[in-house]
Amino acid sequence: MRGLLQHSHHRRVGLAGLCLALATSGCGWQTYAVTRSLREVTGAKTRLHVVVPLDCSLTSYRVIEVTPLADLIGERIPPPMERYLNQRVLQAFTGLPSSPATVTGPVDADTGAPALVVDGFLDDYDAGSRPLRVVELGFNHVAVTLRVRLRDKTSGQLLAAASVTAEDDRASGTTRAAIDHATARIRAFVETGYAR
Amino acid sequence: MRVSRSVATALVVAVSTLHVSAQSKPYSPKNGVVNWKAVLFGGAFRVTAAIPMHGDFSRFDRVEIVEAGSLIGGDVPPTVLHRLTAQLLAEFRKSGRFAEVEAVRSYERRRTPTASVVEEADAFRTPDSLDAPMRPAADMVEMDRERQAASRDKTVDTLVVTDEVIDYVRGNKFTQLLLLNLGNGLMTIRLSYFDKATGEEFGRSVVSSDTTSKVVPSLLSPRTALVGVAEGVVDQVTRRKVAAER
Repeated sequence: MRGLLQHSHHRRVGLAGLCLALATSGCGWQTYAVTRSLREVTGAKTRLHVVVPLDCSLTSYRVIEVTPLADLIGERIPPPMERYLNQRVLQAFTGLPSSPATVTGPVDADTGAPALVVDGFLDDYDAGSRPLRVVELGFNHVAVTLRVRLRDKTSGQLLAAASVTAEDDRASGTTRAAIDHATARIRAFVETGYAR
Repeated sequence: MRVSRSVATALVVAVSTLHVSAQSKPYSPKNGVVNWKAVLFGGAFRVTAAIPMHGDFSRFDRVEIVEAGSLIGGDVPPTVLHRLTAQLLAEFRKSGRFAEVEAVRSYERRRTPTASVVEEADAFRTPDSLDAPMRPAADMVEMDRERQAASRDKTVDTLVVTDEVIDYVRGNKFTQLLLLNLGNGLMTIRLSYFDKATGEEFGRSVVSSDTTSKVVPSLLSPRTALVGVAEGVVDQVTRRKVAAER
């Protein structure tokens, strides 16, 4: 068994060396330009972590109350950007398939219509370093992490929860774009509740 | 004879000087974003301060690290959480700035240090009902540890570090070899630092690290995102403690 593991390890190291040799064999500016262009495509990433899966249909909800996200990152996010973030989160819940009304929460009055309450947190916000992204050096990327929860207003039952991180390693990456990507991913997550 | 005596004196002076210099070894803060180790092997880190660290860190001689939790559900496996806690423990011990470093299962924050709170019994102080089922052995061992820790509280100020994972990517070490910015591993955690006795929060930060490197791919590198994160956390606490001690 030990011999097999060692053999497997040697194979992996050999494969790694081969890949590295292939990747660096044409280290001219053409190779760099091609791989850099591809990295510009792959540099913007979003990751969705489903905390509570959305297992029920949301079509019966006529009102969606979107509460501004609680800021857990302090003064790291500039106020205009925080406003932009909450505006984008609100937009993510606007124009959903069953056309529910979207309002900014919290709303104390009960309208009688079935309502979905959305709240959440801003867990991480970092603008990174554009100069370092240009030279592709160091820990430089833009990162925005949001966590949202969907609750039934009447019963208070937690229907779904998810965390989304938008990361951008590109020289052209901005926090605004990262917020756009994160909220688009939240929208896609919520839309699964209308596909049932 | 005279020569050997002077050599012995010189040796004694040298040894005592060594001891003193080891005690007052200056701490050089780490640059996590760009440093040669991270460029070569990966494991660079960033620290984002949500609540800047404040207060007197020099009085803390004991650190309790609460077992890492997940804010992203099951996307971070329990084994990774245990490894994170172990890595933080190892890094704090390696720094040598704290007399005691321990892991604890949980921390219930004391919001106000009033008499009523002091009277409020912790789980290990409250006797179980005779009708209650016997607790598992692991719980009893944990309570024994908490009892011992509580008895130590009288003499040593304790810094409690809570940590929760807010983003995690395992990564793929083979995909990373394509050099197309794919397959990178990453971990981001949020930490809070509390004075155990009063429950006062002394700071809150987000620390993140990944496995990108420009020279040695993560398949061959000893550095991981866990190592980077632990270095970032310990660096933040140590630089604050060292600054307070000056």
